[in-house]
Amino acid sequence: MTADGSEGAARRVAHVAAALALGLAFVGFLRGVRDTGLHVSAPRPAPAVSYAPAPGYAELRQVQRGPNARLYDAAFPALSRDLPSAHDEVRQTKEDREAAVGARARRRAYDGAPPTIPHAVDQQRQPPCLACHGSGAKVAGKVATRMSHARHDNCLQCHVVDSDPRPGAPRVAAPDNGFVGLASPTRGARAYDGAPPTIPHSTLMREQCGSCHGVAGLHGMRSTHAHRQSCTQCHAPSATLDQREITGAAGPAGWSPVP
Amino acid sequence: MGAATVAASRLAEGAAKSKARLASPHAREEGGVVWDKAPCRFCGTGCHVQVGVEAGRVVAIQGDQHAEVNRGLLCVKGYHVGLALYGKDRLTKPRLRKGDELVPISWDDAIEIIAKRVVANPAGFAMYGSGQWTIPEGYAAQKLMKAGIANNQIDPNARLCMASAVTGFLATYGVDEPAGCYDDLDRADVVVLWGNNPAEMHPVLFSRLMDRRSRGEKVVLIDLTTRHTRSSAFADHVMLFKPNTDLAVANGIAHLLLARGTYDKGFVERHCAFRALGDKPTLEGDPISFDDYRARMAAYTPEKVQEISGVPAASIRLLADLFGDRTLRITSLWCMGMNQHTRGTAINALVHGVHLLSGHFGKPGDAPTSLTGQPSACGTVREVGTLAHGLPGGLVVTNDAHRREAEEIWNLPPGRIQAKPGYHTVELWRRFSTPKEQGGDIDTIWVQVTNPAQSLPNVHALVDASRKLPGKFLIVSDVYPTQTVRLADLVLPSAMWVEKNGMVGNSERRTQQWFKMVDPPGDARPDVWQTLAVARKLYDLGVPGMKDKDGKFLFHLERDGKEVRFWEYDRFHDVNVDEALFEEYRRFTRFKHKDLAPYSEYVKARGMRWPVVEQPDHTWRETKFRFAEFDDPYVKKGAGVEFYHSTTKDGRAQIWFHPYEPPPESPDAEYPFWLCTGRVVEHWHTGSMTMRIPQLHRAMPQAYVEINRDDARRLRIQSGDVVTLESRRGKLDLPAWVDGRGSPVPGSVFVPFFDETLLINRLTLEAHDPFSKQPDYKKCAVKLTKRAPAAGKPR
Repeated sequence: MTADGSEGAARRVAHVAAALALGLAFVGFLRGVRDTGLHVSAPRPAPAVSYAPAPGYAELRQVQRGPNARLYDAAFPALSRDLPSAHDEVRQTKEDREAAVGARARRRAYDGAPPTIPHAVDQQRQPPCLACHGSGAKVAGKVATRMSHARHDNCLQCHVVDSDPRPGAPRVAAPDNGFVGLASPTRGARAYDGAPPTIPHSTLMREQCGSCHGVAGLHGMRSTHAHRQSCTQCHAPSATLDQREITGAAGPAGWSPVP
Repeated sequence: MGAATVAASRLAEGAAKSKARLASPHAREEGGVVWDKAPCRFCGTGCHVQVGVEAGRVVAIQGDQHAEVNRGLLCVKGYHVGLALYGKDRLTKPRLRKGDELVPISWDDAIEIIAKRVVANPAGFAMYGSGQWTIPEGYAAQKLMKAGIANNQIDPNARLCMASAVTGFLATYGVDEPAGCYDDLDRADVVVLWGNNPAEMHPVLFSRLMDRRSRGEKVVLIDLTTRHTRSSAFADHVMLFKPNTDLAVANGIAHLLLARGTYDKGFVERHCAFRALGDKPTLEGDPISFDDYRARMAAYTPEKVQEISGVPAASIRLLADLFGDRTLRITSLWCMGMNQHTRGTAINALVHGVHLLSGHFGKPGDAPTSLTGQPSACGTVREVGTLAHGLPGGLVVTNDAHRREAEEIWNLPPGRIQAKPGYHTVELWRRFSTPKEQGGDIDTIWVQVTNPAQSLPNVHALVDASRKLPGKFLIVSDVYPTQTVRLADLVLPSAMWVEKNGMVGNSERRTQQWFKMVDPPGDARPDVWQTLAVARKLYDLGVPGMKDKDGKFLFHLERDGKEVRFWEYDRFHDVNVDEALFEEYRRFTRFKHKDLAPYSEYVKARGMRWPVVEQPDHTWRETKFRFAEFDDPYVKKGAGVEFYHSTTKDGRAQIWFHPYEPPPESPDAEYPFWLCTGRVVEHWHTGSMTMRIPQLHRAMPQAYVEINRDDARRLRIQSGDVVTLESRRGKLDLPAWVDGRGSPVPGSVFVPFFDETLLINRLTLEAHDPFSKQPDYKKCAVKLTKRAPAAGKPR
């Protein structure tokens, strides 16, 4: 009995202690999950710098690239891996070539005109055009062609969007204009069957042949040998179209000063 | 058959067909396309393009590789300039108003109607032109009005554009036009944009500058602006100032140069004097001492300037640090921001003053350079002097000796040219829109190559009002049915750009020439022919002013001893009328050392910068840097720098003091916003050409009001909402674009003026600079109310 009694007392103490511990833990839990606003110290002073308010959802479409741009910038090299290899065999039909010339004409007023931009761009800051157009990219059948000319930083000086850039703008019909632009040439001249064709267009602002004829170009314009780098080794440009004419003080034959 | 031979035979064929095609030494052919040079039709940059013509139509454009201005590059307008000829609604027949309709009439009738208006009231007949007149066109109009009708009633839209730049140059150097040139952009270490957005407005020059960075060069770009623009995106320092406070900023720089002793003492002592407005304000001003100048500038401490302008004192110090450093080369650029300003003359003079005071002048890269907006604002308006007070070559009608010189060259009886200037633009249109009995003594205006019903300020009062007055007759020569054409009583269809021969002069004193390449549509004819045909009709009607002192026709022209009857249109292309007029005009250019070379030299070149001086070997040499001994042949040997047209006749330029003063209209409780107007890269001026080019129209089809994001949030305005903008003069509903092409500072809005369906100039203020008479399109007070939410679904 004594033994039982002392054992029972010890157990009771243990139960009480356990109950107390449980209770304390519970109270602690409640305190922990409770709003402790009353107990924090005086609010910290607002930082001296002010931050621009976050854009509203309605404005998000206008904000082209946020501070997280670098997270997806890394994806571009992966995207361009979709490009075919420069060593792939290329087979083209006449229809392929016509389709490619037609596709070019849709974005250009005439052969040699700067193409319009078929997607939205930042209208105020300089958009990061070179992210895609610096080396060319291909995503799900859509191609971002490589820039055909040396780097100029003010891209929007020559290239403009092809639809109203203003959000929420009503559609306005384009003006009627009777201009018929110079068509893109389909083939260069060959001296004999099998000879390398001459370049049938101006190479000014188009000195990067790979832009159209390389692996990121339209299928109908792709070179059969895009791995070769020195194009003008075999394909001769036109001095006339490239404005390399030689005019002396007296001018060429056939010209006489106005009386 | 060689390319040159083919080209020659095609040219001969073309000439036979239209008697129009003149042989050009630059024309060359490949694949059926003939290419030839022409300056671009649009802005004052003066790029050269190569125009491709196939079967009598323009089919392609290239940047001209041989042009020093643009070196093969163009902007989107330049690449599409050929399309400007082919809008479907080109004007092709002269038309006369009958009630609400404009009915076709013959050219003979049209010319006779104009001549009879002159005969009925010569004093009330005026011509209103522009910086888009070619040099020969402007010269013919100038001679008709100053020597023939002799009432001096001729003024150009350039009055709205660069008149304050002219008065700034005159007040400072005693002679108009920049000393520097575009070569400065290749050498400058620092470029300061004074209220200027060249990334959109002069993109080719901006790229010429910014592409230096791609080559590893360091160019510091400072953008002093009231609106964050595409140029700001390239700037190292964007300094936003409150509208109209640019005067305080310029004075702040001068103050620190003086206070720190970092101004160029040697340069100032040798080459400068000081000026301020006296009790009776004049363009020449009154002399003040250096100490007086310093004392007046003392108030413009950086802190004070910060208080006035909102530009932080640290930024003013930074500008003063740069201008105080003589190891740097600094170029200032400005255009409409400083010129369309009720203190336009003052701010122009102050910016010249900062450059002179700091010695940033007269070395390549060190220059204050004003840019122009029209292809021949310099060539035609400023050099041919088609202004109410002007004569060719920088001469003025108010000067007895100048009138005598002009009478001598034009072979006129003494006293023919009147000493009293005609009305400046705003006054001219005000009088045209005022009943005769209330002092409206102008009853006929002949408008050529401009669109005042869209581009004048407060157009309701200055143009629309005239349409309800009896006896007022508006004649308009144009290529498309512009807003002005719709209001006209007589409409004349004009040839444009490469449909005629032409010469123009760009911002850097470069005179350029091109030949006619295609025929104009229908019965459209060159403006110069229209002017000369009216002159001849007046001669035939016996108007005495149309004869010189020997009784010959004012525009008499002989070839091989026989008179050329160029006023008969089928004989017009028998000779090059442009060349004949230019060779006569050229005699005027010696008076102010603005020497031009013979026409044939410009045929060969992609333009040349005046003074073009003949060398001992009979070649012609252009001048890049005026007033600097190393390049300008008119500077005395050993002088280093010499201002040889100084207003004080001592070779010195004037450094001006002008105080900051508040603008004539500022935002208040009722009209709480500043309104600034301007342009976008796609459109040129009133859009009469660029709005008809599909590629440009699609990229920017409509005007809008640009609103700062904070203001938009406060007023609950989203992009696409229709907003009513109202000033004391008019109101207009516009779609809103929050932080669109640019971001105006809070409390200000921006509206481009290209859209004729949304005429912002019904709201603008006609208050103008007291010397240049140029109105201020950049500042007036408006209120803004949201009218309707966005019409279309956001895309």
